[in-house]
Amino acid sequence: MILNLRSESPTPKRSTVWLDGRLDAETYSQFDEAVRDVTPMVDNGGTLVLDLSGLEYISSAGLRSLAQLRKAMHDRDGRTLLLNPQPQVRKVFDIVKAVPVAEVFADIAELDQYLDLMQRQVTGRTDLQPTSE
Amino acid sequence: MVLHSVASRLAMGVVLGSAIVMLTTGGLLLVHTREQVLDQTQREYTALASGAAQRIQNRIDGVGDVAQVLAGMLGTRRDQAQGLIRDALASNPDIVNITAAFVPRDNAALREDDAPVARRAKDGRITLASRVGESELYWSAPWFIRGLNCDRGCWQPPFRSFDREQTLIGYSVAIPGKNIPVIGVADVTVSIEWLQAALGELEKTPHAYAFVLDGNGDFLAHEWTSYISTRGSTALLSALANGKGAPVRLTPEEGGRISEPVWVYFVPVKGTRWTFGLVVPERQIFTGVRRNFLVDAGLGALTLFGVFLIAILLARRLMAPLGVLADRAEHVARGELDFALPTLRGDDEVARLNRAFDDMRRQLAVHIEGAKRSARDQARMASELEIARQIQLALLPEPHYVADNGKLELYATLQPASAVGGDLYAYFMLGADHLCVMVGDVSDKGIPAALFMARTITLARTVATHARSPRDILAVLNRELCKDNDTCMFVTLLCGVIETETGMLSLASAGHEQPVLHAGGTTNLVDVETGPALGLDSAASYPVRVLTLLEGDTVLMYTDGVSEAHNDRQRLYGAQSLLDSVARVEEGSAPEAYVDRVLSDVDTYVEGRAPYDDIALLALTWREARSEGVRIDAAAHS
Repeated sequence: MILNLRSESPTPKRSTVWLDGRLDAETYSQFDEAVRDVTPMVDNGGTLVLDLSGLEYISSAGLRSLAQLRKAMHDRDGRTLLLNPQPQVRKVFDIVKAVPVAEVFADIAELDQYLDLMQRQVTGRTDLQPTSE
Repeated sequence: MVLHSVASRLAMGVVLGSAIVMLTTGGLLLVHTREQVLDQTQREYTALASGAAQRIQNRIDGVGDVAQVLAGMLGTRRDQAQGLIRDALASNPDIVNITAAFVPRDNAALREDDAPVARRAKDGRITLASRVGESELYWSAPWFIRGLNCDRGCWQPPFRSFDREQTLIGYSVAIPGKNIPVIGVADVTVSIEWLQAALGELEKTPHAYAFVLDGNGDFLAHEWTSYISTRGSTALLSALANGKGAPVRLTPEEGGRISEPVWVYFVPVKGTRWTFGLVVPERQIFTGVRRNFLVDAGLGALTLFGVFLIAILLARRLMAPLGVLADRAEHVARGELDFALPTLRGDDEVARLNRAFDDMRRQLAVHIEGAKRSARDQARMASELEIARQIQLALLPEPHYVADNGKLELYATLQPASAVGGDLYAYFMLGADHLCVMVGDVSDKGIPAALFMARTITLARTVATHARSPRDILAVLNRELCKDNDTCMFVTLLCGVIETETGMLSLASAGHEQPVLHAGGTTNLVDVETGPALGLDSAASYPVRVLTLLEGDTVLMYTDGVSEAHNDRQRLYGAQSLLDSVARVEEGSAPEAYVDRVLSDVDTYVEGRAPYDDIALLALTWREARSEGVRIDAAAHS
């Protein structure tokens, strides 16, 4: 019944929270409290990435926490993306669909690709060729 | 004596300590003062003896002076001898008689005026007589011969006067002549009784006595009159000879005529060979020391008593609040907190203890009150929860249902992990030919889940009234539950609608576990494509899966309290275990058998642990003995 959390906010555009352990009725309030400290560091329209590679188990109470977090970010035009869930956790996402399946990514490359796509949709065609390339 | 109170123990300790100190210092002081007191006493008695000797000396000097003056006068006025001695006797009441004895001018013809004597009778009359004519020849008597040689005067040995019945003693001075050195002897006789009287008049301590020894060692005077004229004991005389003026201690063992150890103070009487002696019993001398000791001991005892009183009073005064506190602490132990505490001024330990005790009592009262309130709140909460549980259970239909035509039988159960829970099952008729069944699981547990469950189950009944497809039911229900759902509570729900005549079952799932179908000897999960759980995405849609049930087919709907039940090793029960459990149920059993089997298998699996999650189970069995239809299996898509 332990949940460990670690977060990193390299830019105001994107913060990452690592979850490790179990997210259930006994730990979700700890998670809520932790992300309450992280979300203000993400700009409006920014992205919060939850890295779930260490998450062993998620219950419906945990799903509710994630849904609530997603809603809160959504209200600020932000996105909450889930990264690399273990198979049993992935299965829960697939069944319950508490968060859209499209926002769950198997690895960081897939996620970056998605973010690029989003970026293009927002900025339009002129940015199809980024200046750095 | 058993010393119960700290006060009396403290007092006794102080007294014992003081006693030890006082005995030690007192003993040392006593040893020291004993010497001083002894020395002081010795000096006092020496002074007393000297004083007494001096008084005797004075009397004797008086007598000697009379004799000397007379001798001087008689040298030239032999013819006036009778008048001179009579006048001298008359003016000196101490003197018994005075003799003026001259060497006879003619031994053959003695004349009366050769040796006139003036005598004082017992009645005081003075008579004149002569030695001439007495039986003893005066001029050849020993006292006269001795007297002739005493030109400066000397005392004669005492003698007994039988006519006066007194011991008398004479002082003789040679009478000087003009041409020859000596012409006679002037003799003044006194009674030894004045000496005796002088001894009696001495101021002495009790039991002390005085004596006067002459040069031969005989007692001239002694307060024990029977000793008079007897010889002093050898011990006394040798002590006198060796004493050199210092006090001498004599014991009966040394041969003194005494009954106890004594100290003897010798003082020589000047002009005589006499010695004045004062005898003081040793115990008399130590009386002073003993008295000092007794006074000291008495004072010491008084001091100790005073110390004891002060100590016990002080200790009682200081300890009294402690006694009260101890008493009050027993009150506290009995749970009585409303009592008076002593009011203490100052800042000593007892006062601090008192204040701390008072604070503690108040805090305790506050805490107890809080605990009571909390217990009351808890009791009220528990009773409210129990009522809520009753209400929640009342929302559920009967566990057992058989359709009017007898083709459909279902059995359901709900086991909340705590008083109330978020799992639900429901079934209700849609029109005359359709039965809607649902099993759901609200996210989270406890009261919020229970309320959301109540909302869900109530809404479901309402919104499903005119629907015939689970797709519509779930879509409408989802939209309703999404409204104002800021907390993102959601419910996973499996909804089925079965035609009671045909056994055609339409299923739709909002994020819920797949149901189990036990049909034709096989047990499988029914693959129903799920839509999002209800309450999150108002635009969600829910695909429908249609089954046609045949005789004896049973569909088991459940919540994750079953599939995710876990044991001590955190291993989940899992879908496969559930399938195995269902497969063990005999074909054609009543739905209740399925429910019971799964529940008991889960119970066995969790090894008696308290259930972690709510459990809802619903088994639905189709009974149509003559049904020979072909299983229709199709998915309906929107």
